[in-house]
Amino acid sequence: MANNISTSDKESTFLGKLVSAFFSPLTSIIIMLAFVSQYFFDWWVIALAAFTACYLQAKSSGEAFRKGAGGIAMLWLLVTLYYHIATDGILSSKIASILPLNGNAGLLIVITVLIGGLVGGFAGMSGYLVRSSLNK
Amino acid sequence: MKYSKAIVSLAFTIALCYALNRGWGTAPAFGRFLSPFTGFWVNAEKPLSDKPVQGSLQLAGLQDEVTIEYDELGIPHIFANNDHDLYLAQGYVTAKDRLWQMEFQTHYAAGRLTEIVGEKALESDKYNRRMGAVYGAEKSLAGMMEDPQSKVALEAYSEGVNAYIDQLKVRTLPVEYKLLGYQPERWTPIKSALFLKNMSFVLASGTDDLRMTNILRKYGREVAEELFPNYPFEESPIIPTGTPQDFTPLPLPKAPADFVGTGSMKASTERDKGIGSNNWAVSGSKSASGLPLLANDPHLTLSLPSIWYQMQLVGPNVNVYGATMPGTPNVISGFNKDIAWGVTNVGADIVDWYEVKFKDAKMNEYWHDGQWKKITKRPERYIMKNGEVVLDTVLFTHHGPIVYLDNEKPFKKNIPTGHALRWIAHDKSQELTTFYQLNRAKNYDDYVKALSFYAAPAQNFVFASNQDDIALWVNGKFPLKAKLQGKYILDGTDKMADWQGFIPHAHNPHVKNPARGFVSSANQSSTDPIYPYYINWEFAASERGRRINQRLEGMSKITVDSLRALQNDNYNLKAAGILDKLISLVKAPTAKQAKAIKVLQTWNKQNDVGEIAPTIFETWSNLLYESIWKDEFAYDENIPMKYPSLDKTIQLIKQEPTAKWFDNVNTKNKVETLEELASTSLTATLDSLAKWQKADMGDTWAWANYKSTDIKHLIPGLDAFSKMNVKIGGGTGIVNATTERTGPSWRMIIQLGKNNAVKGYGVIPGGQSGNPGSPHYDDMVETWRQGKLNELLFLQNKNEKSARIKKTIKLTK
Repeated sequence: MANNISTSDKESTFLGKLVSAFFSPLTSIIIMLAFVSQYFFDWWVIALAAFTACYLQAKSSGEAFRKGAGGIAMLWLLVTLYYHIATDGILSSKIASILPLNGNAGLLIVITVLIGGLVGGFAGMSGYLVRSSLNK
Repeated sequence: MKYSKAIVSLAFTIALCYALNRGWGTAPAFGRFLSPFTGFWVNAEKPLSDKPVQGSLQLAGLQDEVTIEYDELGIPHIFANNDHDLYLAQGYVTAKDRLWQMEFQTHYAAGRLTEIVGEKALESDKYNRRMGAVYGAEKSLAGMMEDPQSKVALEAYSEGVNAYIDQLKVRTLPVEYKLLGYQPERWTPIKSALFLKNMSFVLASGTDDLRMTNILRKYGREVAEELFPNYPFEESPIIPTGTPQDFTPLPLPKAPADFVGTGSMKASTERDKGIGSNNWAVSGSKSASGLPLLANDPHLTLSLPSIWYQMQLVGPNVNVYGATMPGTPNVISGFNKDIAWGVTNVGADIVDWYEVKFKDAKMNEYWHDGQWKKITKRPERYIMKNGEVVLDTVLFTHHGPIVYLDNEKPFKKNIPTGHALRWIAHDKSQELTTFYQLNRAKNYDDYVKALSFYAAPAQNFVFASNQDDIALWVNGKFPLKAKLQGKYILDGTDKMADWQGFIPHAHNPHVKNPARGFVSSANQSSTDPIYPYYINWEFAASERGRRINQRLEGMSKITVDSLRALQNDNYNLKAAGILDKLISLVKAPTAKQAKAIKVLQTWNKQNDVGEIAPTIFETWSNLLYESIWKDEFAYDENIPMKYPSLDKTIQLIKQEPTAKWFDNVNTKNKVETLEELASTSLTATLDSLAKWQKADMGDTWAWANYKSTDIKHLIPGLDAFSKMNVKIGGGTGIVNATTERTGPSWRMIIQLGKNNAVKGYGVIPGGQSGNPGSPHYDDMVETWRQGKLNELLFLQNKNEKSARIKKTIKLTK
């Protein structure tokens, strides 16, 4: 899905570059891996997913960070939005009041996605760096 | 170089995951909590669809197939082929909706909150355990397990709760576990016993013995007895005067020698106003249908998840509908095709304190009945959230636990230090047998038999049957005492001061089919003073009871709707009785006072949402009451006392307007009069209300604004999971007893009928689900606020079809 977005947007210049910086076949692998494994393991399995995919596929530490972050952030954004919209935000707005976010569910979604992205990014970068340090 | 980059990056990633995987203080583990795969997002539920859904589920432990049908309010109707499966399914569906609440409340009851919230709960935990909550629950469980039917119910219920716990995954944990960062533990029958014991804590642990002894020491017995009389000035007792006595009373024990305890130089929390309840039943002679109707509304602290969980239980020999308590099997207040019953609390004197004389500082022996007797010790372990352990030892005499020693600071200020507690909640009991049998009762005799097993907390059980019987038993295990024994602190060395047995069950106050055609209770005096035994010297104020009896007296052709109107009655009987007198005391009103008096004079005495008169009246009467008694009976950290009752105060105002109590003893060379107090307190009222709203008298002073009823989540401070400032009338002493934090926690009206024609109506101030992310979390609040009731879906059997069934689940073994 993310793959489609990146290819179809290649035409436009800035946005296209930006999107392809974060999304590529590697991103799809991360998303698939994280999506499936999170049904069986705790939340931190996203780090393993990004690590493994980037260990195998990334070409630079920068790419590994961006694709790791982009993949997990995209996955978490889609799933979060699904719950938020399908449930009329019944719980997200309440949680956004308990956390000091003034009941702003949008902000809560942004923070959720940022946290997922950050973990994905650093895990992905670690995956690439570990591989390259082992290959000589 | 390459290694070091990899190591730094890896280390940072691991540290980040670690930091997001643990809680920080009160903040949850953000990684897990916010993840859309494991976090709170998963707990959000979709809006209800109107399309019925079907499902099936395998459940270990079942002996046969069970069907559960949920109606549009999320109320389960359970159909099982044997008792074991019925209660297993009850445990399962209750846990499915309320697991977190069940566990939190039983952790509270067991004095184990420190394990969830840490050291800040230690004093509250210690209080619960030292009062003997766990000790009492252990005894009561032993009693309940002696009845084979209760044993099956308790064990199957536990199996059902555990079957649900076993299905849980990190992602499906109730949201409170995710927020607080812990996991449920397995359910066992002791938890059900703890829950029932906690009801004694909520309803029957109030005690004035220390305060009364302090008053006795300061003013002497004559004043104490005059200002704290043993029967109210205005009353309409639960058992109507003139009810024939159908038993030969036992001789009362000889009163112990007069004893003036040392009271306490330490250590008041008043009993919560508004914890009480209403119930009544009217006979066929007064109803439109020709058969009885019954109503019940227990008033408790309004909280979310709701205290009650509605349910229909259908099995061999049982088809019952009503309110259940999450944590215990059976229906507690409800109906079947033949009978209906409901409960209100009896404020019996079943908490007594004995001054202990220790032999020496080692506190291994105490003096009683002319000899040194051994103290027994019970070790207690408290585990903090961080795993730290705090040890404690509770000392017991034969009476019960010495809740606090002389050098300790009580958690509640009405608890005397250095005294042993004798409390009925510590005795072996079989409450579950009562509810098991009531659920299956067919007539008056079944009901009386069921009640005979019940000990505590004592309840007024109202009853009606389709054989046109109505009845009310003031029911519980009451100690056989000398009159007033236990009004004050008792001598722990005097054997005569011990409880000398119990009032036989058949001698408990009761009434069946009285000539007036109705029975009722609202926590007021159980009987008039002619009743041969001592139950208590003080009960809840009589206004609700008097108003209900007045209204029922005047009603005929009663219907569900007319009783619903009575449950929502906002008439302020206290104001009706005293307001004109108070106004007449303000001899030369100022302009401001005159304006307020005009509002009060045109008031219809209804504590309705938009009225401003009740705001003025309630504040004024409270300030006046305060100014009369504060100088003599002020609460003092060291010598807690209590004020004479409002009833006594009204009697003084009406009959002894020049009593010395109206003078403020703190002003030398000046004698204040009642007139002066009335005028100054009215001015103070208007000033404080103007200050509160930053506006002069007007719409902002509306009663609902002033009262501001909140239905709060069990975790303090979680306003987002609460319903704040619910606009509803009523108040303390009003039939619609909705106060700031308490109110009708379940309203029910049953119209009895023959051949399955019974009809039930009910509502809870919340919803069936305990999940703040569910549409059923608070979907009944608005119905409740408007004083409306839902028709209760009472299915005859599992083959009966209803358009109201939205979800069917087949449970198979």
